[in-house]
Amino acid sequence: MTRFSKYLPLMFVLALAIALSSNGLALAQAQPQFISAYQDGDLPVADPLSAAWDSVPVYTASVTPQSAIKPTLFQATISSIDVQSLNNGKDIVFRLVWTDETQDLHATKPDEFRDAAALQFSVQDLDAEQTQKILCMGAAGQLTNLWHWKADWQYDVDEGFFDVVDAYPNFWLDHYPFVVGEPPFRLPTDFNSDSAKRYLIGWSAGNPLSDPARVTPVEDLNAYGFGTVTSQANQDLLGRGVWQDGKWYVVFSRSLTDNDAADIQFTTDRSFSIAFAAWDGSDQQVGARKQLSTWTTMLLETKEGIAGPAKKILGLPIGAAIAVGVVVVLVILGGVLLVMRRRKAA
Amino acid sequence: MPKVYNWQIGREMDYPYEAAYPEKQFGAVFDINKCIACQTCTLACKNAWTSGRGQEHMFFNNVETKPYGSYPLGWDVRLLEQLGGQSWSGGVYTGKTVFEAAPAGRAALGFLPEDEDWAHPNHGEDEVAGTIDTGAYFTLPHPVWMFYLQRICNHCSYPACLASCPRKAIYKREEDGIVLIDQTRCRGYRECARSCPFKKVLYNTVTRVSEKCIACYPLVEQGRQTYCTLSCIGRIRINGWVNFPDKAVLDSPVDFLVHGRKVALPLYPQFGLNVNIYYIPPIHVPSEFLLQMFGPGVPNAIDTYKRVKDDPELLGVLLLMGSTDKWIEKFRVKEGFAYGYDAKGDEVSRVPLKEPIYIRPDFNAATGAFLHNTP
Ligand code: SF4
Ligand code: SF4
Repeated sequence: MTRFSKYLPLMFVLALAIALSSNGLALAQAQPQFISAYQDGDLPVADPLSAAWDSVPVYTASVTPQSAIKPTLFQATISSIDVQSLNNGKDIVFRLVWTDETQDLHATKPDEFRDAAALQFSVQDLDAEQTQKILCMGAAGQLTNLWHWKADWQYDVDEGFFDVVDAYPNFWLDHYPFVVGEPPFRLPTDFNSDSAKRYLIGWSAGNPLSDPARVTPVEDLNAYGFGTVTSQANQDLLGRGVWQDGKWYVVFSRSLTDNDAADIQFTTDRSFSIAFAAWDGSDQQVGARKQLSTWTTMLLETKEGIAGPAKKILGLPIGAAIAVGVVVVLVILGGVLLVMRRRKAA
Repeated sequence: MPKVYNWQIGREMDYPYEAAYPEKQFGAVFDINKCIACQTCTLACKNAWTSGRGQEHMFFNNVETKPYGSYPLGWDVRLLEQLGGQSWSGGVYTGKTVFEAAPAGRAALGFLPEDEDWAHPNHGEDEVAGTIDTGAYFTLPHPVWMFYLQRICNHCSYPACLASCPRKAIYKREEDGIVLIDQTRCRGYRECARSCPFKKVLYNTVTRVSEKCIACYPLVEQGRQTYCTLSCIGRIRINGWVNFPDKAVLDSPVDFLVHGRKVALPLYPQFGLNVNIYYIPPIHVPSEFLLQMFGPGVPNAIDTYKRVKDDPELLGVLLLMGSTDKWIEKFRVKEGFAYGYDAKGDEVSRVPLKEPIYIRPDFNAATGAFLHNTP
């Protein structure tokens, strides 16, 4: 027997091991996984600065300027978003943290834009390859669910509607059609009749952007392709954003499942495609002028451990793949040993 | 990028969408020579459409004094500067339109006016172009001049506002070519406000979405002219359907002025929007300024206009301006009168080409009073 053939079985086992592990490595790279951690009891749904977040693993999503459709963003002012998530088997909460030196709270003046951030989910359970194909914002028949937080909405919810008299303190106008009350007047109270609303067209048309009596800073939306973002009839989200020391801390939350077919349902039998975006108001970023991430796979942790679809290697569930691999190795090894023993005997 | 034909620049040009034309196109002619800048149009429009909270700075119609006036501040000079040199060869524009000059990642060249730019609607009002030297006297054109420019949305055939909205929230109506913003779909991105060269999309500071001139469509639908037209003190305006030259209907007043006599010209045709509001240029203004603003048709337009007394048809249409609140579909001039007809062919207006002259005695014997024009 040659020296080479002596090591043949060992080399074979090694090659198989490398093949298996490198295949696993490749899978891991294509799907960097983000886990929504399980935590018993109440979740920090209203407090983006809660100490409860300190122990939650952070997934850092890099974001780049949107360049697929016009108008594009030329240069990023935000490069990454730190994302965390918790669920308690009933509700789920996400926290997005990113650096933004300027706090842009309003979209009132004609040249003023607010900071914002969004989460995006593919509503259908698509595999990683299918998800990458739909790029961002979904496609015909492939619905995405967007959770969009806006700094101006946050201000309105926290401090009351930011009106023209707040943006321009010396402003005075003594009459509006069908207004009640006294100048300088306040929205929505002094303009709440149907006749007065008719002069606030966006509001009377039911545009959620134009509602001066808003109660949440987060909008629940759908999209099925570029330019199709549409506010949902059912608004199911809670959220809150706080700016501190050059960073935005924003939480988004919802029940894990609800009865809205247009919403993402966080069930334990699947993984989730999730993406992130942020807008910097002082750079006049709005709409397509944004920084966004690629899709990431998210898994849900439950009381019992990480949930999700069974993992597969070469089309077989992981357990079966390993068993097959071991059997193959043993058979080959056995065969080789048998041959070697026979030769020795001969 | 698709190519579309823009007759106002005499050539094809790039536009983000394929050409699609409405059944009819809303249009108007404004005779600059007759405007007195009373702003009645501006207030009629404001009362009708922009008297709400959040619309304080909005004028769908404004009248500014040229050369120094502009609302928002510098809307035209800033874009002209961005566009660089603009040259014509014969009737063909050889420079770039706002679509052809669009920076990478943009639908059109443009800028978003700053907050303060909306704060001075009467900036430059009644200011003349230069100083008047001792001993100066008037010649035609005037050595020192100014004129009023009346501005509404042009309801363009190739709107830049529509082209740049990533949400397709802006649409051009099939029935009349009026360009509108869907108030339920607009999300206040202001891409339209950035791209409209005329800055006729305005952001509502309360509803946080954009709004624009609606061409008084509820009136147009009833066969009436717009508020700015019917309220005009100087009777400088007329509304009508306007067609491309190959489809011109020459007994329709706007087509007659634009294509028949060619006295009414597009505003900044070089921007490339194929606008639908036309201007009779002021005859007293030096041609360099007018050529830049209204294109190469200026000398012919002024020449034709000056000879109006020998042109009863042209005179007739000019006199029909402001004579009725009804939409004039067709006109006719015969036996010293100009007639306007509606879509059914019914007469809606009749004006004499020459005002009858009455001579009265300067002394009223019954009252024993002298009748003078001066006190
Ligand atoms: S003038 Fe401006 S707002 Fe009006 S249709 Fe043209 S591009 Fe749009
Ligand atoms: S109402 Fe007529 S005359 Fe008066 S400013 Fe307007 S366009 Fe000019």
